[in-house]
Amino acid sequence: MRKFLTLLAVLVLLGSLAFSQTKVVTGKVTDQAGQAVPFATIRVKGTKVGTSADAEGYYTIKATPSQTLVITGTGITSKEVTVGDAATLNIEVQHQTTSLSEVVVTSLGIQRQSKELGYSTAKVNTSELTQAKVVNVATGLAGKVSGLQINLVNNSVKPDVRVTLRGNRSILGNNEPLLVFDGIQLPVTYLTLINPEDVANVTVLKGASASALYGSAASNGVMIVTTRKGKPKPIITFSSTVNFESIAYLPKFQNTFGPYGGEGNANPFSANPYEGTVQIGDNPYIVYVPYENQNYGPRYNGQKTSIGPPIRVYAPDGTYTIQQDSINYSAVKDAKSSFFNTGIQTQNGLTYAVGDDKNNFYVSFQDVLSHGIIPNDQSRRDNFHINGTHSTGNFTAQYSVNYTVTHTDVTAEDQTPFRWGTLPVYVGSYGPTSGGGYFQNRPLYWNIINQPANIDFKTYRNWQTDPFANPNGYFNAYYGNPWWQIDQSRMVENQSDLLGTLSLDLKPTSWLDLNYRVSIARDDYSNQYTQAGFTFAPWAVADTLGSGSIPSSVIAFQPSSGNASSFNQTINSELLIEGTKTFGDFNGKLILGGQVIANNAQIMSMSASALVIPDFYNISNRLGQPSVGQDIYQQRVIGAFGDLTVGYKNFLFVHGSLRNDWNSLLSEDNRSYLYPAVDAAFVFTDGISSMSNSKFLSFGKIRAAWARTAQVSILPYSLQSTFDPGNGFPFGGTAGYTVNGQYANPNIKPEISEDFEIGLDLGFLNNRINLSVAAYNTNTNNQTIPITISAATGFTSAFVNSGEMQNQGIEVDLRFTPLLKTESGFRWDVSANFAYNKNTVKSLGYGLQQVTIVNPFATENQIANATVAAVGKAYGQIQTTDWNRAPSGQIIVDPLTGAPSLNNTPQLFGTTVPPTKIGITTSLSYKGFTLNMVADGRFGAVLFNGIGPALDFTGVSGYSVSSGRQPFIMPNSVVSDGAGKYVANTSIVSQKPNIGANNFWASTWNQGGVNYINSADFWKLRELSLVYNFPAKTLASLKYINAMTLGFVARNLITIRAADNIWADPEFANTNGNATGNTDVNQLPPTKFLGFNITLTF
Amino acid sequence: MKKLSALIGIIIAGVSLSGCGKSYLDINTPNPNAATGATPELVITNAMVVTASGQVCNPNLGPTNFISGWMGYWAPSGSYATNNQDVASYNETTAFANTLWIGSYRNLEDYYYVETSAKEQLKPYYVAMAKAMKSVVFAQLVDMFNNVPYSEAFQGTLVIQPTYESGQSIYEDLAKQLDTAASIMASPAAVISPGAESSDVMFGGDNASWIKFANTLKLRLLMRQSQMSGRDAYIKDEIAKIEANGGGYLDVDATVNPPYANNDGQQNPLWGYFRTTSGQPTSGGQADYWKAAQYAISILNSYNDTNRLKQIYSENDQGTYAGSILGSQFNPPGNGTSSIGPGLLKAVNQNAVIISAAESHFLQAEAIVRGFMAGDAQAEYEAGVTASFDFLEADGAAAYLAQNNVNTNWTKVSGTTAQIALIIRQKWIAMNGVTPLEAYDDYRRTGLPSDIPISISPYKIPANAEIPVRYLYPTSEYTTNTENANAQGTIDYYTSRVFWNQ
Repeated sequence: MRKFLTLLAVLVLLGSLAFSQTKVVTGKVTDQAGQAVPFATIRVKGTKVGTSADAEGYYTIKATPSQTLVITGTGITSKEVTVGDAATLNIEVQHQTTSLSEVVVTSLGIQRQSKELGYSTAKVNTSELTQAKVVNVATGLAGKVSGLQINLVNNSVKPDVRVTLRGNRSILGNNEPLLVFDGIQLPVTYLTLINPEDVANVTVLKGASASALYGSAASNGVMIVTTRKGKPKPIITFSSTVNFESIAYLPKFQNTFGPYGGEGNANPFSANPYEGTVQIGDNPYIVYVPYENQNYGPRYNGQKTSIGPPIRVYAPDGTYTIQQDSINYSAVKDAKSSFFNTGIQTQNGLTYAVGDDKNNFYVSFQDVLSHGIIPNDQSRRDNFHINGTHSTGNFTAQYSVNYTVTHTDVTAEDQTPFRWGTLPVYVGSYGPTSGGGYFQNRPLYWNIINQPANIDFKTYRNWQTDPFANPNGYFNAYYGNPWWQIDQSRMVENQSDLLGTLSLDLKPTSWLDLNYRVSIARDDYSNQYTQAGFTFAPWAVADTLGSGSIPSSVIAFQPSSGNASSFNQTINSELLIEGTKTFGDFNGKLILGGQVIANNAQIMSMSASALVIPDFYNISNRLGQPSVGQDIYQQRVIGAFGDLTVGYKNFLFVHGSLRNDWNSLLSEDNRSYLYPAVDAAFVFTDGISSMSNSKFLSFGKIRAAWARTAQVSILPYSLQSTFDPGNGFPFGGTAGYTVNGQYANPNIKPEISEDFEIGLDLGFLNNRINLSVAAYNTNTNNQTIPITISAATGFTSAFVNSGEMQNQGIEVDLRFTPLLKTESGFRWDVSANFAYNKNTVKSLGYGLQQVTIVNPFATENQIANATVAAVGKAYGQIQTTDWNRAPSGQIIVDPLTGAPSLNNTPQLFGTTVPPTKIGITTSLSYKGFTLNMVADGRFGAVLFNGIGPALDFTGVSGYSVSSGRQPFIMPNSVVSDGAGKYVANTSIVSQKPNIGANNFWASTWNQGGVNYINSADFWKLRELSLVYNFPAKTLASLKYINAMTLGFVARNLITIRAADNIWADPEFANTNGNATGNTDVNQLPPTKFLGFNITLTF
Repeated sequence: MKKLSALIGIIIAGVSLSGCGKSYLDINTPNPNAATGATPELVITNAMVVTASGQVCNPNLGPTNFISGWMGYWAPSGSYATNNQDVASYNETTAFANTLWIGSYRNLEDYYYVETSAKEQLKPYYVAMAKAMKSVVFAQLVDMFNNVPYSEAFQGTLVIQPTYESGQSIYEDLAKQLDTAASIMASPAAVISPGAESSDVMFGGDNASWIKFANTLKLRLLMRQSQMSGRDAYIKDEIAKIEANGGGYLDVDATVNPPYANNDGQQNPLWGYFRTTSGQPTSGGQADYWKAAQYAISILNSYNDTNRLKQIYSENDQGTYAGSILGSQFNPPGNGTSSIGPGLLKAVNQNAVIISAAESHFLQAEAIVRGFMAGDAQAEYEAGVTASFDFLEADGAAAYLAQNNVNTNWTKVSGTTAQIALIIRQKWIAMNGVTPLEAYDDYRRTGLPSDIPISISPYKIPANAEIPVRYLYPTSEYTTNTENANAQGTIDYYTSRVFWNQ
């Protein structure tokens, strides 16, 4: 080692001697927009002196004033600048547009020039991705890529996202793209586990021809995430962001009427009146019921009045007094939202990057701590990433390790699913059937939004010490105290994910390249569900007011607990042999390769529904038998492929690939299948000489691509019908089995998508304006999915190869770089994307007209509601109950009661997948300030709001006071004239004067599914960030700081909804599966984020 | 050239890797997570437990609890708001009986599997069991839906849309199935039934009891058709066939017990519907929702049936017996009304009834009164009432029968109409909490008991609606078996009656 050090010292000495006449030049490399250009190479022309700009574009180099600096880099046009006398030299370079010679990472890491591609790709760079300091890479992509739909389905501390590209292809199978992270193939859910600061760029391969080489996992497109690499100059960056999360909006509530459920006995004139009711105001039939959960009582008047039943308040000496709480009978400001906290999300990240010509090294650490809007909810993600390259001669080794640990601790939801870590399947469920509450299966949000408006939640926080907040004495006889729920019903999850990859590359000759890559992805997951019990006091059980309260009906709520753990591991190994040759005007590249993927997964679970000793959550501490479960999954895939690109004079390119897969999931006869793909691109601005020097049209390319891909959607072991232990079995020594309701088909074949795409890419005015248009048609046949079949077949679902779905679409990307630029340094860049996808379910086979994707609300709202695929319609139709209507479409009401009646046959109400999507990103910069904005809109879909029926039931919904709770005639309704015709209803009231006899909103209206369907159209201001880059001279005094930026960041600041959507975020869903467009009371109110970031570079 | 050969070597290695892939890829059989084969002995056990669980109320098997509401046994307490889809509204949509339909056919699939596999494996005892048990479930399907898929059912995707067959032809075939079941059980081959002591969770391997069961079930199906015109000769002929096999009718309750135990999912289904494993009343729409109906309490009181009243219902918090009126807005809250009583909720491990001895006797009494069979109607009637008292662990059946009351005392009534009214009235009491579907079938068939109150819910449409006469075909059929379901025409749950109720 000593020798080496000496040598180094000599070299340094020589260097300083050689350039003793020079000065130190520092500066920043920026693009036309003033954005930092990271990692550009800066050389002193005619010498071997060179350096590299850091991640923020800053560089330092030694040169004489007369020398010239040459700036080169990926994606920029090279530029020469004379050094001059100034100490600071900021350099503006031109971005090459993606249409030119930018290198694009395509399938299996193969790098190709953008202009030779015959299919659609999109690339999002780190600056665009992280401009709003997102925690989740997926959220950072929303609105930025045409045809890419990102849905944040809920906003907990660990939100799930759903990602689709160009719509849905599979009726019941997977429709999400494949994620490739540093060469490792992963389910797209892994996006939530990546540190966005590590990402150099995300390349989206949209069409099937782009992804065909990946085989069966990639038929829905691919998202390739490439991480940052170390660069010659060592840099350390520290980034810290604090975000504040607050509720953006809530459903519309009423603040006019208080508690009373409409029971006839509540009014004092009934034969057997309930006790405890109070008359407020002058209508004796509408009384105030101090313990009621429904809000059909008298108008708020500010009077001091009782709340809840009389309860026992014990003194420390064991004596008690009977007390009844009282409050002002008037609506409390922010009654519901006051339950929620301001969520605080902190991100702290550190990166270190270093390298030289042969080697580079990058390491990072990030900690994200989120405190949710629900008190007590929190999550933490710690991510460690390391990657690097080492080259010796013609040999290069690359490695990458990513390790993520996540921990979440949240209020338990109803029926927590057993989760296969990141594997996108769910098997079974356990945990609370009571939604974590102690009564009536109510999830937390239900117990919050349905409380009367005169309740101040904050006063019920201390249920342990405050007798009026304790479950024994809580005012509401039918809905539990949510504060108890968040303290006593918990779900803790721990997950660790290790991703590692090693790539060895040998270039024995100039035309040959051998590459071997092996990677491992390992997910370990465990959770623990704990549910405290509660034994109600005998005096509370006695229910002195005769309300039928929770204490009197529950008496004792059992504590319970459950644990599940799983691992999921994939080992992937691939070999690529790449040959490149030029023959005259032709150049060709041939790639041959093979791939082996092996996946292993296992889940174990146990739960006990009744624990003996309270607060001791161990499965041994139980009554009765525990529930246990075990599942093992294995899958292996072998692939062999070839890929040939031939270019002619660098303007005409033809590319073809062929892959064959052998998949263990299928039977021996069906497990081998082939994916062919061809595409061609013609750069006519180069190829047609008359166009090559046009000042106006600087670039033009026309392209076409065709591919056939296959997807195996079945889970392992799906080829044989099975027998399961019957419910409750074994009973002692008696075993019992039942034929599984899924009819297995041993002859399942893969599902085949045939994809055709054409495109046109144009650059105008020296590529200042870029327009890209693509049109595609994808037909997916042979759906290999379990369809729902008539139970009369003996089974409820069957695997068949049946059905066809078509996606036709057009995508337009328009980019102005810049739109406006002034001498004063002001600059405005705009890009916009538009996508329209027309989906049609062409056929389902077997005479089926529709198949059910999911029944989201089988029981909770009593509304029959499903998401289905129906022949001739767009995928994902909402199906629910409608009122009986006259041929004119008007609702028919009963001539006696004025009530509408439900149509026996459920109706279809439209697709849940928006066909039209628009995204706009814009960037304004002036001096050191940069303002970025991302807005997007989606149109043409409908949404089912499962929260609506609950709000109408309890009478907290805003529109339930539209008639001031007075009798009304249902607008636009008709009645039968008795002779088969319908006439306008002008006299029959739908709500009676005494609502005790007929409560229209709570008991009639809220049973019609159609009432809760609304347009899912929206515009969202997704991201807004204002960043200030401190000038280099300001920082000069700070010795070690090379760059500093300060930013204000905001997400989801504004959402413009369709007028009829008065409930929830139109993007939310109760699943990240195929049945989007359905929300229920487990989705929280939408939130917005406001925060600050500081980034320091050393 | 050396490099080229190295390249070729690598390609060959790659190809041979995929070539030898056969064994490498054969990892997905056998299934490590679920059995791919099961004996008929294992499958019949679960199937019978499932059938038993659906007889009174099982939220997983559809709205059978509504039947107890419609029949005047139970009513929701005043603690719950009424609405236009609840038991009192009488309103049905196609979603209403979805789970019942699916649950029944899934249950029948298990019997189908048992019957076919037991036939292959030469286990006649199980063939006969499957025939008898599938007749229970199919008859109940016909009773609720009339025409349903039958002979084309259970073929998986081979017949993915099974056609519907007329309820009457299904009933007639079930009669034949029951004849066959009885004759198989009587054959020497079926007497040897290894394993039946434990897998036959109804009769523990007793052939004679199965013959009685098949005979009684067939009598149930025949009596269902008693009000049809022109059907008497058929009924007489078929009863003659029963009499001919000489096995007789049930004189004990035909019950299932696997054995039930105090664990989640292992409780007796009725017990588990109303009690948690810690013995507390279930909440959230079960024990605190379903309470006594005022009508049943008043009937029991008016016949001086105090002993059975105390067993069928329990006292409310005020120490009295009180019930709710179906559809009323003025019902007392949950703890002001009576709950299901100790004669029905005896223990967590009590037997689950498929056919009660009481029903068997009442069926025979009615058949004798109608002249379909010979015998002593009074004796059967009184045996039926006594069996009900015994089942409920109530004393005083003899005194009850002897009182001077046309609703209890056989000798106080005369004439077929009055005798049948008496039989059905007492059968209605005996079916409370035991097999309420039988009471509903009797009510539709005979209109008895004629004073069962009609719901006064303001949400009925039309406002003067009476008790529905059937269930609608479920959504699942309209979506998955569209043509065949639509071929049944428009179904109206107030007017589209099942075949024996035309």
